Amino acid sequence: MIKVSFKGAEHTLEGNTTVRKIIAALGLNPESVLAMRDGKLIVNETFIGKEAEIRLISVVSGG
Amino acid sequence: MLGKDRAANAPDRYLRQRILPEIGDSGQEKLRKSTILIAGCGAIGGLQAELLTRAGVGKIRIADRDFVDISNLHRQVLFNEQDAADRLAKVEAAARKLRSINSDVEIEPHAVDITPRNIESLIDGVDFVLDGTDNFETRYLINDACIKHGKTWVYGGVIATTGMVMLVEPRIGPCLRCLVPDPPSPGSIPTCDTSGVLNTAVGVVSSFQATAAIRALCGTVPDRRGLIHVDPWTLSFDFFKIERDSNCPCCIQDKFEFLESKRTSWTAALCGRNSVQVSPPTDLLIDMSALRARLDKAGRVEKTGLLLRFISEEGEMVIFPDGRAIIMETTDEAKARGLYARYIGT
Repeated sequence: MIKVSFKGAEHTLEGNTTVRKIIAALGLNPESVLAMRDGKLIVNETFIGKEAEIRLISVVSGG
Repeated sequence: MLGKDRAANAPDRYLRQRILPEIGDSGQEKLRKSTILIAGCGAIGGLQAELLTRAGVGKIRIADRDFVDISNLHRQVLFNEQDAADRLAKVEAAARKLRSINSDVEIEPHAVDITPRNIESLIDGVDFVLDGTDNFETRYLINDACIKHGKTWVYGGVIATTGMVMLVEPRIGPCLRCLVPDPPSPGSIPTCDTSGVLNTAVGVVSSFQATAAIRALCGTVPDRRGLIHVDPWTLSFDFFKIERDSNCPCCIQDKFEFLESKRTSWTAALCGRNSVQVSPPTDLLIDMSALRARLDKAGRVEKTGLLLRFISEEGEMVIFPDGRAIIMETTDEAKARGLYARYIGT
């Protein structure tokens, strides 16, 4: 299973998918969210196997 | 008390900065000889400007398209209630405040919208660029121009209680398009309208950006490259490693799509302001005296520094010397364009 955290909430999803599909499964826009694994940015086309821990953070525009 | 001239030139002005081994006398001299651009002078841009003016950067060019509004004051440190009442251009109010802080620093204000038409002249001759904007359209433009001309810049953004910072060193580290390949669609990310802004998050992000500028200007190389993500409310700080995208259209393929489009938005709703900015399709410099005389016949006109404030039965607008106008109390872009055409002309 894949553990995905976003804004303090934890979600558990099935693996063997892409980052883009994980983001979409949580109802988020892949254009507006960055995915991090092991402290490093991973692109939306990255394939995620059966187990992983991913953190999503929103792109920040304000200033 | 020291007189103004003596205060500006006092030898101990930067003492506690010069004794830092990270800066020293040589770093202080490099700061004095440096020129920077602060693109956007709102929350993060305003604090960057104050910190770097106090630090003794020699020349600070500031570009901003807006005027001071009362809703700015909880987080925009350069402005006060009188500036908001007078609807002063932000760069004008900022220049006045910054010159009173450190008269040794040359402040060069530009009351302009940053567009593909003027970004290259704005970065011409500067050693470093700081992002003080509140939108991705302008950030991608800054990224294109800085990569094309080899200028180091620092991205920063704040929303709600969180913020992000990333230093962009052309051809060395990742650029904005390596991080976010394409601008998020309008409406797809939170804005200050919908999520608010914590002023201390502004302080954290601005401080990281100003520190990046001081380090770069002093000639020190960062220990690591990537994205800072902070949330002072939850006491969290993260650093993420970001690598250059081997297919990046900007910093690898040299495609400067945002810079070369030469396209400027005709209208833009302003974040959190219930107002719409209308821009002329080409660069121009308005004869403000002649316009004032013309508008006097159609309503009440006030001159507030560089700007004209015009109030008619149909609403209020603030007019800039570069031909832009901000139409107040509406988000209806068609209505805003109509009022612009009627009173300023196209």
